[in-house]
Amino acid sequence: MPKLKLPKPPPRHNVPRPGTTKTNGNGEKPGVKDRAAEAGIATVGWLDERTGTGPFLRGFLYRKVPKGTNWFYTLGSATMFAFLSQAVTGVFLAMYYDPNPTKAYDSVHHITNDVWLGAFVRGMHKWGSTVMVLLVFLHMGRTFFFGAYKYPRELNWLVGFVLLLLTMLMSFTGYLLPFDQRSYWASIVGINLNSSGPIVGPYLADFLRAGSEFSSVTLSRFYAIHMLLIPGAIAALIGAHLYPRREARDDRAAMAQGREGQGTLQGRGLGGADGPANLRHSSSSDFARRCVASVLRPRLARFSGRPRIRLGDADGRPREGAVPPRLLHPEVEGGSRSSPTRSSRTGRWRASSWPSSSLMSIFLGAELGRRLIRPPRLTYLAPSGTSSSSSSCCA
Amino acid sequence: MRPLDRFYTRVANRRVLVGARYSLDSHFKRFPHPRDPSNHLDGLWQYLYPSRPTT
Repeated sequence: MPKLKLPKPPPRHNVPRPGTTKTNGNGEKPGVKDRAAEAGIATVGWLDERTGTGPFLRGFLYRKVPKGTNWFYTLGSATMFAFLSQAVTGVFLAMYYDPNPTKAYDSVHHITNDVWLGAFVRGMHKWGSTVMVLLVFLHMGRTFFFGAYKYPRELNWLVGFVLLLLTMLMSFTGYLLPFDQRSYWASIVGINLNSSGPIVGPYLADFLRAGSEFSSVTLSRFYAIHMLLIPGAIAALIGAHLYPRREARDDRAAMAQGREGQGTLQGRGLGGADGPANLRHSSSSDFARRCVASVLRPRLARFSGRPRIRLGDADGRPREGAVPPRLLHPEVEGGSRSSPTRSSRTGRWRASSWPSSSLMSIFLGAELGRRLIRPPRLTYLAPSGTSSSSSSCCA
Repeated sequence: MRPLDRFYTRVANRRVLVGARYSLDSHFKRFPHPRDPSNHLDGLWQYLYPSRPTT
């Protein structure tokens, strides 16, 4: 059998491996500082070579931000930071907390008064939960008013709605954990509220209480839900919440550069050389202007007859094979639009304004109902022989 | 109709022992299983709040 000749390995003296250089940049023997600097670089290079974090971080941190981005788009990141803060402070609180009904209150008292920085960490966790709920609602408001829940982001909106429910459930289960009178009775009321729902309500209440009565197992169940079940679900759903957003960003950046999108919008007629010309990017960062415009613009356009979205040339004539407005990115164009139709008279695209109209109807209806429907006047039933007071008291 | 909760009681060694909870409807008839407050016990509404096995 002939002997197999293996090729010689490439010469290695020209490309020194990280950490193997014998001289510094001046040709001198490296000192302690040079070795220390080289050790850090070598460590990072060793990790980058084996994990590939360098390209990932470059793509993640140096991704192009589309036009029209302002501070309102940071609310989602702020919410995620609030969640991470809750996770970190919760881990430290869990080191000292005891989910035993006879010891829970004392352990919280111990955290607050005895543990070093315990009150600070507990305060961060307590107020951080309020901030997280607030940021979630602000983020949802931004998404609603900017129209970012529409195509192709309906699924992302639904995932965000589930995240809202999980955040509320997290607050509810965490409220019981101090196990003082207020948290106990607030949880009783909350469980009874859940129980009032038909058919599934009683089962839901039994699940939360771990039985038909509030018992010592209830605290353990709330603690397990609060610490294990919901954080894992939230973390997984945050990943699902962020993944399509990144693809959409890449598509927008690709369209802004005149290239064809590589992800969600590929093959929908939005890429290519003439795609970006049809997109009217918003350059304003004024939130109030967007809100007012989303309400007023459809009504003004109804009287003026001007199209609000131009998919044709400068004169407003529809371009051949134009894509309906619902395929574009709603939040970078501003306004609230859905269900586009084509005018039979002018042949231009029009969009209905029912989201903004329904929102205004809700606000106006609530205000009107508050003014028209007055609460029943409750009178204090005084004992016989005394005059009844007219003050509204519910005894 | 909110259930009126009662507890089974018995006397042993001159002490009153409180037993399991049960509920009453608006006619003061005892339900076999306790219901939560806000659960309806009369009419058709009672079928929207089914009884659960006690644990």
